[in-house]
Amino acid sequence: MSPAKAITQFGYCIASAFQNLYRNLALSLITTSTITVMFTLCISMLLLLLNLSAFMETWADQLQIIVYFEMSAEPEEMERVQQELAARPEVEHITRVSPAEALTLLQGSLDGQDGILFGLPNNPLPASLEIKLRKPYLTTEAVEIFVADITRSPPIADIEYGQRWLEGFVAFFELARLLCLVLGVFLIIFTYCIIANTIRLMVYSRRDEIEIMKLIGAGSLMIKFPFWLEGALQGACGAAIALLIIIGVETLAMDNLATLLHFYLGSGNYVFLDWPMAAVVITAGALLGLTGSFFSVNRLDAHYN
Amino acid sequence: MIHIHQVSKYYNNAIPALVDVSFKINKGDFVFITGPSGAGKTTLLKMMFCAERPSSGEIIANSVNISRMKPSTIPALRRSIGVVFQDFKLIDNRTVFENVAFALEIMGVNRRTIKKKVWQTLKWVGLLQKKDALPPCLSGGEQQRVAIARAIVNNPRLLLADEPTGNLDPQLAQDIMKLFKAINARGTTIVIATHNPEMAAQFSNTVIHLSRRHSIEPC
Repeated sequence: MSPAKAITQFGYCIASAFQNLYRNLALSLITTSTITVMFTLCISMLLLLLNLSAFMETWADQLQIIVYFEMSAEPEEMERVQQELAARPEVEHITRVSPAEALTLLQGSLDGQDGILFGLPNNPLPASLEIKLRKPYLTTEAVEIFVADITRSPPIADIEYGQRWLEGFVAFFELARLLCLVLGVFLIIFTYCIIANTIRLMVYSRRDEIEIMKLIGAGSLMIKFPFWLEGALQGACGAAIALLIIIGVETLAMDNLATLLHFYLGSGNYVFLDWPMAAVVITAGALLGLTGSFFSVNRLDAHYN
Repeated sequence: MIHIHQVSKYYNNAIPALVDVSFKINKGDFVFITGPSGAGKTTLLKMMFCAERPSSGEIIANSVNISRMKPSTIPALRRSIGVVFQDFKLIDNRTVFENVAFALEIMGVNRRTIKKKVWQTLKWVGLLQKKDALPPCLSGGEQQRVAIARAIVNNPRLLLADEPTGNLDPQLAQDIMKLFKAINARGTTIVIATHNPEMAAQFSNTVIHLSRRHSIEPC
């Protein structure tokens, strides 16, 4: 066949895919709706996972280790400890807080009830170092190793980083993340099976059409390509509609969602799918639809051969 | 044009459908294959467009042994042959025009030529006014004419028809046979399988009779 005829045939295949979607509108809508429902669930799970990860990152950014000095610690000793700690690769930033600065901060945090501090004969707060670690070291294990490495001997009186709270918090979020991941993978496999079977039913319902095409002399690709394209289009449409649903829900519930997040998690930074991620979701839909129709049509084609 | 040489067909390697059948069809012939139900007429026709493979023997069409064709070359063979089925085999959700046009689309013919050829063919079979109708909305005779239009729209050298009048009343059957005669007059070789020997005798002087799956009695 000449290249011109092959291009013309390719054009017919593309036109045929769109025409078939229209001709089998009910079936196409059922398939697309199924894909939409499954993708809505998958995207929701993905968003949950993303938000958990984002929250963990935000929280980790705020994590700091506080090294308290003894009340009798000399400025030279404190300077020496600060320089030693600042030289360590884990440390991103270190700030020395004097007793006077600590008292000011405490007064500020008491929010109108700072009167209770007026009766104190002298400042009871010690000087301290606030240490912020670099990103790779913002894990439970790394923080524990770092803290264990600091000698708790004069002039250092105590080191605080919310150990128990940190362990419980991290364990909870790791478990939640794992659960989301397992559920997500299960949902993706389930989605694939549902989509593949829906498309298989769609292809099967048109088996007579495929048989007639073969008897008239249509080549294998001429028969299969429109089905592949239909599958890919339905997959992409289903994923795109699912995205629109999620965007709609997000737009309607954003204010309440942000308040809820802030209330429960102390963070109002809600993460939503960005454009590249949305493109990945639509491409995944297209690929899912394509593979579903690919295997269904191939199976039917093998049957007729 | 076609040489059927000692062709046999057994289903499941045991049930005979055809046994040792041989005959020749020349270019431009108008041939009837007759015989009672179960004689193997449909099987023979199916083997001529590679819908079935013979268990033994050879089918030579235009010097090509089609009984040993590779699966990948079968579509090209089918595109060069027109086939009319007893049950019409029209795509129900495509219009008459689209059903006929499909035979040209698979050959990569451009849209303008398709429109012209389909228009001419539908006019020729008397269905131009029904070009936008869907097959289920047509009568049996009209559906058969659509099937004929689809089979001849690409000017095949050979037209095979399996019981083309089997589902039609006698008057419609006569009309369809006249259509086949007209197609034959344009130079197309025609092979028709029918269980109706009177019709065969009326329209052709070349009748191949299949009896008990293996006897060939050219009349």
